[in-house]
Amino acid sequence: MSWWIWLLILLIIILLWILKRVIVVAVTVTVDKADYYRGETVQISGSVKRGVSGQSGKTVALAIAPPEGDVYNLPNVTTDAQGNFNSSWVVPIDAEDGLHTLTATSLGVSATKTFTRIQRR
Amino acid sequence: MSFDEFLRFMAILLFFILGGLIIYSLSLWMKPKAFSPASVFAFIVLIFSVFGASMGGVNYILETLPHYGEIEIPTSGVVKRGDVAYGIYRDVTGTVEVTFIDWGVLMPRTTGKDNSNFTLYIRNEDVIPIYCTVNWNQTSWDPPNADQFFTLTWNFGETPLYPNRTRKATLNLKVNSAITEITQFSFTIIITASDEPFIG
Repeated sequence: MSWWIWLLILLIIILLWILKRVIVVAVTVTVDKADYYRGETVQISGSVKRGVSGQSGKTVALAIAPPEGDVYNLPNVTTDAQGNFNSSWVVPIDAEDGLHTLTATSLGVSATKTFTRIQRR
Repeated sequence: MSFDEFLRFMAILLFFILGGLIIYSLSLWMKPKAFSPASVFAFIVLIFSVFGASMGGVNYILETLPHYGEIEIPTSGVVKRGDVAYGIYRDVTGTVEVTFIDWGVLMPRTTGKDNSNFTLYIRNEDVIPIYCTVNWNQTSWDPPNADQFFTLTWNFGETPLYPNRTRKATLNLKVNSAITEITQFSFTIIITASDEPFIG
């Protein structure tokens, strides 16, 4: 194969990598602890970025799915100037024990973190 | 051999013939040394590539073209009813509303696939508990008599959905294999929410 074809392929790969860094939206979400008792407050934080640039003023939808039963809806939050967001959720008294799944969605992209565990006090 | 299997056999045969012609043309163009390691390796790679492409091409064609035994289901519109505030979404966080459902293709007579599932999320956006039920608009069926061959169910349950809660539900559309003349149809799904349980 001619050298210029290999160069073209290499340039295409580099271009795709650059576009991915610039265009692709990434949402991250995390909580402050791994385990919570009923009645405790879960501190939620995350970010919405396009490439390496934080997206300000973007709406983030949050939901927490227990191991069984209906999902808990959290109020929507808005990202700050750096593309970060914060929220909180008080673990209900009647919450089930087990692994809970937190989902954050913004600009059509979702981030899911299955790390919240409710232990029986 | 069913008609589908015969079609599949003919399609594979045609792809191999086409692949052979391509390989022959390439061999004339490349003019490799007879039985050299590079030429043998290249020939093997080409054989597997043509075979893989043939199978992929056959599957693509048979999946996209309607054929005997298939029931092509267009998208079903989804209508909300009720005097309580609720939403129907495609995702757990409630960002993409459901306005239509794409059921895909059913093949009850050829492959036995006689039902299709669709998952959605019902979100209570009111301040009171709500109950939900699903049905179809009887007058929306096209053709009008097609509904006798279909069954629509879901697993939402009869327990109330409390405020600020979302419930995942799966709709199931099943077709009776006795269906014969009908290959295309359409209908509208109605999801109704109320502050009182639905009876019956």
